[in-house]
Amino acid sequence: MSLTMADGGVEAVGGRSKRQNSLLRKQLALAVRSVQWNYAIFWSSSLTQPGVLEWGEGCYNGDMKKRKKSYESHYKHGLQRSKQLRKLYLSMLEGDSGTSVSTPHDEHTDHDDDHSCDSTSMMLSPDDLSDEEWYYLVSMSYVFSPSQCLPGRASATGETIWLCNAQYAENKLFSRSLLARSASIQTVVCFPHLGGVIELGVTELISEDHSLLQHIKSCLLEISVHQNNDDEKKMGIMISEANLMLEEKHQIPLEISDEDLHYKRTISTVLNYSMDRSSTNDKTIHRRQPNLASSDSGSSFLRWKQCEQPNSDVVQKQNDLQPQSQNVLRKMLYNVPLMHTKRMSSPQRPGMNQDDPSDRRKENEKFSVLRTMVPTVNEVDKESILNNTIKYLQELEARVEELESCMGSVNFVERQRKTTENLNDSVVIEETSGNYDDSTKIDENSGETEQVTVFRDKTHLRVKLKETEVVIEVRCSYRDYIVADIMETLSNLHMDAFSVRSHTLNKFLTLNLKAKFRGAAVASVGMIKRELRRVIGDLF
Amino acid sequence: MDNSAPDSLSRSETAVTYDSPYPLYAMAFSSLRAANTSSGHRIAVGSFLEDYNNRIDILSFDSDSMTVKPLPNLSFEHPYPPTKLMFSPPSLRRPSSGDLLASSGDFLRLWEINEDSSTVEPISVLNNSKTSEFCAPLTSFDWNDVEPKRLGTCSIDTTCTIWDIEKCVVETQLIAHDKEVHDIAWGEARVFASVSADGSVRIFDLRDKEHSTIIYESPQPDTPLLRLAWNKQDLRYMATILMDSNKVVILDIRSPTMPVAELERHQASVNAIAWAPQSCKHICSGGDDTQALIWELPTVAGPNGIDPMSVYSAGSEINQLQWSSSQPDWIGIAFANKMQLLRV
Repeated sequence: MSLTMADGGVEAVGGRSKRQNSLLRKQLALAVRSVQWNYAIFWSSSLTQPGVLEWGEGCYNGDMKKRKKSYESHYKHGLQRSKQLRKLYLSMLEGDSGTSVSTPHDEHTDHDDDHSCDSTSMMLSPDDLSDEEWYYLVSMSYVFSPSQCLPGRASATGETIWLCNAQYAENKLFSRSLLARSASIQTVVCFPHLGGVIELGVTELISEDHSLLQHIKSCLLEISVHQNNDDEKKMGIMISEANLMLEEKHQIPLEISDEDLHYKRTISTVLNYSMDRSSTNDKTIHRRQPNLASSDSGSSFLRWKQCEQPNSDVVQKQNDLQPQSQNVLRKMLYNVPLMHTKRMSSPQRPGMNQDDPSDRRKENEKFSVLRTMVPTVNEVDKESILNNTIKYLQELEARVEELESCMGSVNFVERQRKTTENLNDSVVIEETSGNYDDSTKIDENSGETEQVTVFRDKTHLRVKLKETEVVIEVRCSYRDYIVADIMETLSNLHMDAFSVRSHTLNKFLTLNLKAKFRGAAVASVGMIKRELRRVIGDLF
Repeated sequence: MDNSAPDSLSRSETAVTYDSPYPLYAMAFSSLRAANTSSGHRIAVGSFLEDYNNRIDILSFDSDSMTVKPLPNLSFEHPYPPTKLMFSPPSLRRPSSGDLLASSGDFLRLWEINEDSSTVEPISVLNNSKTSEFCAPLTSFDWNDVEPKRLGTCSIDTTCTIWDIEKCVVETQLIAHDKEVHDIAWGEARVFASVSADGSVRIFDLRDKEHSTIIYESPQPDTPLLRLAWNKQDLRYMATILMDSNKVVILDIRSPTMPVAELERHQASVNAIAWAPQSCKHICSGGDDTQALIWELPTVAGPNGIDPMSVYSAGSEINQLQWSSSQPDWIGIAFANKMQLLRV
């Protein structure tokens, strides 16, 4: 019922010694920190009233008003906070002298009244507390008779109780549910331990987790195992050693600036230290949780033998035998990514026979050569190139026919072609002069050909082809832009004029041109003439 | 090997084996605290078939009865072999009881595994590329324990991408190396390290994305570094393995360029490394010599180098090794078509 008051610090509650209490506190701190829950309380059975549970020890690990809770909070700081809260509570109790702590609810209202009380020599004042801290503080006042509420039931039945949504629980089940709501404590777990009940709570909703429970229990068991040792002195030494370890860790200057790392190291050192003590088996090459030490089912691993030292020669041999070492790993890193890229590049074109880009390039090159040979091709795409080629061939064939029938010589065009090809040897001259009939003379002996065209209106057109050079002489009636048209025609025939002389007299144009072929493709004289005729005027 | 034959036979009795119809590579242990009604923890294994069609199988492992059995309802298809599998870390609090699995391959994919409804649902496919469907293939990824909505992937296009998987958006993308990045590992909430074919281990801090620290470069220039593991218990230490090398290189991030130790007892190249989840001094490595070695790192090394503590010989080259914090007593290895769980 009433708490035995003691000097600030550790009180002797429930028949435990100071040392035991401090140990228990540390265990609680360990447990609650390692699972990152908000608080841990140990309800011990009261001395005065058997079966009744009252506040034993506690550790607060939750939010503080000014500091946000995270695993980064300093270990020492957390413990201090718990102590501070305890002191505050005790001072509050002292504050209303005469009021006996009878029912939890009275206590609750008393505390509300104490809000305005001046804090005495405490560092904390009630205003400094966050909601969770209030919850923790107020819990200190609670007392549970057997089978009353969560701790009572846990103690009576000897089983673990895991309460989710604690803030909505019924009052009968969990009397602090209202408090929990204000503090947003959602999960509370109680389990019996060493004659009392350990309670842990957290502000998040966590479903029942056996491994978590085991972990918590192991934190408590480790050091408490030694409590069963008869010699209290021995235990005292061990505890003090453990404390020393903790102190040491605090004093080591933090080379790593990370507090988190420091904290983790502290915890792992402490755990390892205690686990060291408990493991005796030689076979256990690894540190285990002590509660697993009992299941000694042997390890899959064998002890390393010294004689198994390979020298680098062996390694070299191995690598030579298997030139592809790390086969799977290499495939994973190098081949598998390429599988993805291959897929992306050619899923849409399944019917493509040439996947080889070099083939495609050759094809394109040939198409461009064809384009240069065929005149009046402005488009670049393959289809129109082919179309124009077809048209051009058809025209040529018609022309050949025509000429053949006119001249009566089969080889006319061929010879012309031949002579244009043997450009080094001969000079092909074609001349026309006005007033001549449209007839052609072929002089087979000289190897020259003449083409004479007659224009009615004194229009004169002369084309001379000398190797890659063409000399054109045009005389015709002037019209607007005629020179430009002639130039354009020449350009379409893949010729570039490099010398132009022209003058216009009485609307009559005299034009002397010298042009060169751009590339290998050479247009025939007849072709040039035909195009020019078209431009000059359809006077044929 | 000098391991006496009868011993090794009896040892393999303590190993739990799962035979798969296809070769396995990727492997992951679930950290789900609530072990299900059927008891046992979940393990995901990914197949390695050089094909479009690959599978991920979910197994249930019961350490008490030492059995592992597949859950056929939860087996699902995966395009291309998954290069890595990982379950969500315990710090990711999820509303449902389902487990979240991430897989990397052509894209980063998230799957929800719900044993109650016996389904596996794809949650998201994370693709960073804005232009096309094509995203550079991912070689590996790591899930941040401390900040569980953060996941880092690394790919052959020399970049590392950090994802916020809750919002399914890219937090940032860094050009990490000069060549393909092979592995990535988180140290803390905003610090990660990566290894690459250019032979360097670099540490990045998300607060200062302009700079990275090279803490190690392979002695022969341009020897690719294949895998990286950051000691979660002692964040000073990292381990990495080189291509075609039988050495496990242990690095201290506070002393760059000089490795703290080179563990050279494998008789062939090392394929996988994993730090012990509950001890800061132990590391396990598996290699082409079919051996898995557990090492304890001393404070002072002897003159002949460091010898491992214990050894296990598997049937063939060990390709994968996982040591999960949810199962600190067991090490999972994958070789050929088998997955074995070895008791430590």
